[in-house]
Amino acid sequence: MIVTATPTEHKLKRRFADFATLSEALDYAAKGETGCNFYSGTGQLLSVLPYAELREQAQAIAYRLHNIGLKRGDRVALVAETHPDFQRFFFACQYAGVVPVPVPPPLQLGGGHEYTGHLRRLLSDSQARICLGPSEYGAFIAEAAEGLHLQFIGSADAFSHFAATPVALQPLEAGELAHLQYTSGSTRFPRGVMITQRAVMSNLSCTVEHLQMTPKDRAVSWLPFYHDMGLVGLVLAPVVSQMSVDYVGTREFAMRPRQWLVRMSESKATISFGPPFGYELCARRLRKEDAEMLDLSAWRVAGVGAETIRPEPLSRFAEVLAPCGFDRRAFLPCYGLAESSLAVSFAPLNQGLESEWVDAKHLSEAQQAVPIDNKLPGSQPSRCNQFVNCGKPLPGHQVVVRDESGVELPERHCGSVFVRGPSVMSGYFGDSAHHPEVLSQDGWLDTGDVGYCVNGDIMITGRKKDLIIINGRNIWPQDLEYLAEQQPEVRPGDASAFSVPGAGGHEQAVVVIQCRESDIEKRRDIVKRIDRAIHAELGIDCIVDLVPLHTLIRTSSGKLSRFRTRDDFIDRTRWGQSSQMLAAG
Amino acid sequence: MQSYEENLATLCTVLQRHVAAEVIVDEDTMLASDLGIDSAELMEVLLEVEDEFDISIPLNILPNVYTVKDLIAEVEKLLGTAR
Repeated sequence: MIVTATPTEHKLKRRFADFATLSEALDYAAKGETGCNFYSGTGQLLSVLPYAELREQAQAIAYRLHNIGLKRGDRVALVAETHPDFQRFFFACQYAGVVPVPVPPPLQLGGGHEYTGHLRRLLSDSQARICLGPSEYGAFIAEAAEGLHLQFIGSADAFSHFAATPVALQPLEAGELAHLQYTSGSTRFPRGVMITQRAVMSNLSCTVEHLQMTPKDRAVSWLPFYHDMGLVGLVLAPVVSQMSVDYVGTREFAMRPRQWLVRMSESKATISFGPPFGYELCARRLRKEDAEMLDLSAWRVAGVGAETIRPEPLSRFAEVLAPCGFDRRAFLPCYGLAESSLAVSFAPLNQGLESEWVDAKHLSEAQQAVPIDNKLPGSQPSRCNQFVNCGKPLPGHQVVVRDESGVELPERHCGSVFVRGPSVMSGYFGDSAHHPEVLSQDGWLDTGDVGYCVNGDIMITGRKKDLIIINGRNIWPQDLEYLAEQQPEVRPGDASAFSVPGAGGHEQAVVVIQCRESDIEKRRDIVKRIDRAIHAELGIDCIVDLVPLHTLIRTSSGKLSRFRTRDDFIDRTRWGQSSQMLAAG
Repeated sequence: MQSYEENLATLCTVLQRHVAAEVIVDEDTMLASDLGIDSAELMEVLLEVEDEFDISIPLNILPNVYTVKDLIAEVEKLLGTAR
């Protein structure tokens, strides 16, 4: 039998995200011929899942979920590999009235042990009743779930042995949760973002409307299914707009980034999203002869988000791929966060990247963004910052910028970015539920990001929270500090982590550690152990800097000041002043 | 059929191309931390390992691969030469 991918166009009249719930959206999509297609890292079509089949299979699983006695609203953790089983179980939960919790698969090389600890915290925080994952991760899942008294752990295959006796299904309703999103929070202290059907449908309908989707659209994605952009943007948006989508696994993409472009080219796809580093990786690894074989002329929406957007790498991507028909106006900068389902704002469609240069000194001293015409002679690039315009808030959503005391700031004044609107989460789940500082009673969400507005457009300049973002992944300083403090030589409170600008404008993680040890060999050993622990758990390069006691700077209340320790590190090491930055690790 | 030592030498040659000259790669080298390269570059290295040995590495084995020795063991499994 020759397997062919689902078509781009079909006879079913397109409806654009005007559904009350996700199950209703799939009910409608199942009337057509479109669906999801899964490709290997070498471009082979592995499996095809038309929405019609997805609905049928999801309902059969929903019967099983019901029959094993799950209660309404119970959580079902799904180890989210790029595989059709994820869609099957995610939608089975929708039909069965239980809440899916997408969790990451083990990703780091040699990170198996650390992963089980992370997964265990997620299972425990979400109080999951079931954990489903690919059989090859069975041992990790079993170890992570030990003693947590889950009702079932195992693979989709093993789960299929339960009886699928049909029952009357009561799908999740508009006011109930659609999923629990764990991208937010650190790996040590996870936060489950509660997203209702109403919130996610509102975000999806705004997104679909902004993208001006047509019946000729087709998407490609390599984004992980457990991440809000991968899940809401590229798993759910296709379903609610009955659009066919082609997937390549995240690790397969990391190994062969060109596959993203090959898939775009061969599928004549029109829509794809990624963090800036994805575009950068692609451009860096592209060979000249590859470019000659690609046709990217159909690509009309190249969404960019999830981390601070710097224009240069994207420009390079556009330049390298212009001969293949890539139009730089396809770039669509967006701003968003898991706490607001996914998107908060999009730049106008077909406009490409729009950025402005502002006076860096004025910005840091007076928190005001004064534009500079960078074409003027004598303007020094080092004294300017460039920010990308992320557009206006979605319809029905409001964004304001406030100062530290909560007073709303005028345009071009930099402060904390707050969002209110129908896409905003209902709160955090479980132990981390009480966070009035994040979500106020009147519905304002403190995004933790810092920025300013110009003519109602959002410009993000940095973050208030100490979050470090590397390769599109959120790295929390608490996690780096925790790993350092696990060494017997390091006392609690003796580590402080932050990021500094690294090579090529990327963030470079640093952890500064106060240490009594004076023996050079022993110090080297401590650094090595911490470096290994960070690599195994987080998969990043981090500068491990051992310093004498009393080097870390504390606030008047005795709390560590990461911000001031960072300034001290920059001064002490003359960071960024020499052409050769300190080698990482 | 290549011997273990030959496979090790081949793998070390591939790895050595990506690391600073002063880093000596041997069978106990920890892939994730001792090479001083980030996870994105590590994936590029794996691609070269695939090409060099003409194998396809199932990526879900990675969480259990810590050292060069572990990687050789996987490569040999894939080559059908595991001892």
